[in-house]
Amino acid sequence: MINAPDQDVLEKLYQNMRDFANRYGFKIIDVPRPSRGRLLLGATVVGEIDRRPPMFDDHVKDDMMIIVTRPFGELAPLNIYLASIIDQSIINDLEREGIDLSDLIKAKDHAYTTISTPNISAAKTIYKYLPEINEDPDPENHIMTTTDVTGPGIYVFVELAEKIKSIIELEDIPLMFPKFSEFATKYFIMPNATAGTNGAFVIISHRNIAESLIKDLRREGLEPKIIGRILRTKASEPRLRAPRNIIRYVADKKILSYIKIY
Amino acid sequence: MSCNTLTLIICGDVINVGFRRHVWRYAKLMNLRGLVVNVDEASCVSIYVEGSEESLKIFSEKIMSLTKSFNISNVDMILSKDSCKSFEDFEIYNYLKDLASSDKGFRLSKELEKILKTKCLI
Repeated sequence: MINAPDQDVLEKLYQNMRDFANRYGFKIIDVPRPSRGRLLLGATVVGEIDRRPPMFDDHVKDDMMIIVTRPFGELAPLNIYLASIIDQSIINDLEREGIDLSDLIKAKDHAYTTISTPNISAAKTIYKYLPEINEDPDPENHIMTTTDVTGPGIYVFVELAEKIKSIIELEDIPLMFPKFSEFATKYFIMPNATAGTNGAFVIISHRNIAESLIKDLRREGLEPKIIGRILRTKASEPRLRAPRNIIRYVADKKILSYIKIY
Repeated sequence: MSCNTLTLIICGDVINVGFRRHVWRYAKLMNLRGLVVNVDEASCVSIYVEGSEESLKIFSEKIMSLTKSFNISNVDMILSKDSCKSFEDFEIYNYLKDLASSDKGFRLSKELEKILKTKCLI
């Protein structure tokens, strides 16, 4: 669904959308568009799967692995760049921190490329580790659950802990641009500089398959990593435990209050 | 305890365009406490801050500087001396109803609603 200030821009957007859909074999379904006279882009993607989707929260066991398909936090350079257009004092702050504007632009472009590439290869790999439609999930051989690290960034692990009623412990917070996430936090450009979009997937699996899963994801050109584990399931107080360096990437005290920092 | 308070109501294309993020940034850089909240039905945001007279003046100037970058149709500013609402931080809220359901925000949400109604914004 797209909307634009004028017909020319609307046509251009529509053509870009068609090119993008053709590139990946997607079919566009037209819906009525609101004529709001301003830029608006939105997409809901519908897919089909012939295996059972990874939603086996009840089968998650103690000591299962937390894997991410790639580092996250890609919105940090984009936000710094956009904020610096409005508030040029941010350029001085970058200089003060010894960060070159060209580095920011490079990181911003890298982030754009990453978020505009559909996560098809990660999805295909996950598919390999799913039970057939008529098969029971096997906790030692199938992926138990997945979610995506989007806007909430690190907070998705808090939500995940609550959803699977577990204590999750992370030993690492892999960020695409730690330098920019730290800058965005220090200078209050983002309340949560671990945020992403079209982001990394989080996978919970048994350690038996973690290694081959990682190998498969790497083969697809991704940067997967085991970043933690399920400390305890059936927890009366589900929570996320995360290393102290999280405070360098999250300025929002409300978000930090949900995390047990160790 | 008595506080200097500043309430700003800024209307225009300010919702879901990163405006509140900039407000939050200035408040945090100045160590001010309070909040910024969307008033969807009026295409406005409300800002409430507590601080010294001088810091509120600087803060309001910084907020006014944002009006160059965003499409703003109207700004209302109310400086007053009121009882402190004891906010511990500066927070971003999505809706007035979220503020009303928070521990410390109920009274303020009613006050903001009253101002918005007086100005025929809601």
